[in-house]
Amino acid sequence: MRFMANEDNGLVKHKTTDGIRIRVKYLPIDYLVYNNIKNEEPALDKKGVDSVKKSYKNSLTFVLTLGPEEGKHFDITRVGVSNYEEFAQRIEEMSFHMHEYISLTINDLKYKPQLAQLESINTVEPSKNIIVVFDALDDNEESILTDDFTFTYIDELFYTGINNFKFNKSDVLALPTLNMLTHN
Amino acid sequence: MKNTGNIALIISLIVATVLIYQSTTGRHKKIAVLQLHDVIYDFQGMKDATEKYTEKMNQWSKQSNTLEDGLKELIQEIKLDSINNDQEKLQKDYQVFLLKRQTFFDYKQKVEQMAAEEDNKMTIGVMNQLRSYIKDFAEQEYYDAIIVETEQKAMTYVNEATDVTSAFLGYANEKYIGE
Repeated sequence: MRFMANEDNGLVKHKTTDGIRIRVKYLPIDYLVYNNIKNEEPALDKKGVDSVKKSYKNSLTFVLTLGPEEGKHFDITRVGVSNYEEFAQRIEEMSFHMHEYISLTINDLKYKPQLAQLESINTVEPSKNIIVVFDALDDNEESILTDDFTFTYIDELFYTGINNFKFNKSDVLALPTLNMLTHN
Repeated sequence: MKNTGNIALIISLIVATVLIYQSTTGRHKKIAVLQLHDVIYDFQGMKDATEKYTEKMNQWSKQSNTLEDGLKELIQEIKLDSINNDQEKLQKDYQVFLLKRQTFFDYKQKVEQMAAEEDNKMTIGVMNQLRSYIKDFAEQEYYDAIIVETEQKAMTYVNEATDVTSAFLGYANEKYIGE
């Protein structure tokens, strides 16, 4: 987790515009697999783990975090909102329409998210997380990770314009492997 | 004219403040000038935002054209009803025509409103982006102040060496693409 959070490793990118901080974090497959199997009883054997890994192989997962700039603590869901109706609309947009504003570009190919899910609106955190998953365009595609890629978020909520976050393929490949203890 | 006077007054005050500050602190200030109007149209963020706006407008126009085509077809139908002297159908088609015409006008009005909102949203987004880039650029290059000139030319003398427009544009476009 510390490796992933370290911005020098290239897996976390952020921008701050007009008081709004937009952060995109790439989630490695090993991390997703670990989260998926850590509570399995009995623990999965190597074959089982490989099978779970395979299910993630052709996708890229990110956490998009929308929040106040560093040092500020206002609730992002209330920015520019003046009444309950607008607040409800903001929550609806963040809960059900984020996929319309997000895309991924690799080698001039544009991917739309298979999933863009707001984590929770009930937390007291001023920032909100959106889990974003992109899948390969078709089953024949060997790997979605063919080159450097750009995560794009077109912000229609907070007036920060079009936000691009460029990731290097080499940074993803340089990730240390997570050693998962499995049942043999 | 009133605005021009105000702008000139504000700029004079800024320049005077900077000069007084310099003379009292003795520190040489690093100041640059940025021609914003030259940046905006070559800024990739503006180009992309305009493309998105055009895409949306085309989508809305398609819907509007479909409604318009429906109206034209109905007018032809009404003409035929009249030629055939089919009063009952003529009345019915005319009522439908009135209803559809109202829908068309309502939609057109709504599209104009949405287009204005979209244009506003797009412009504010781009300006906010540029403002944050100007701040980052100034911090990175150790500028104490960057004077932004807009299309309404300010009445200032600018030494060409202090003009950072081209350097800033390169910086802003790199930041924009996520580098």
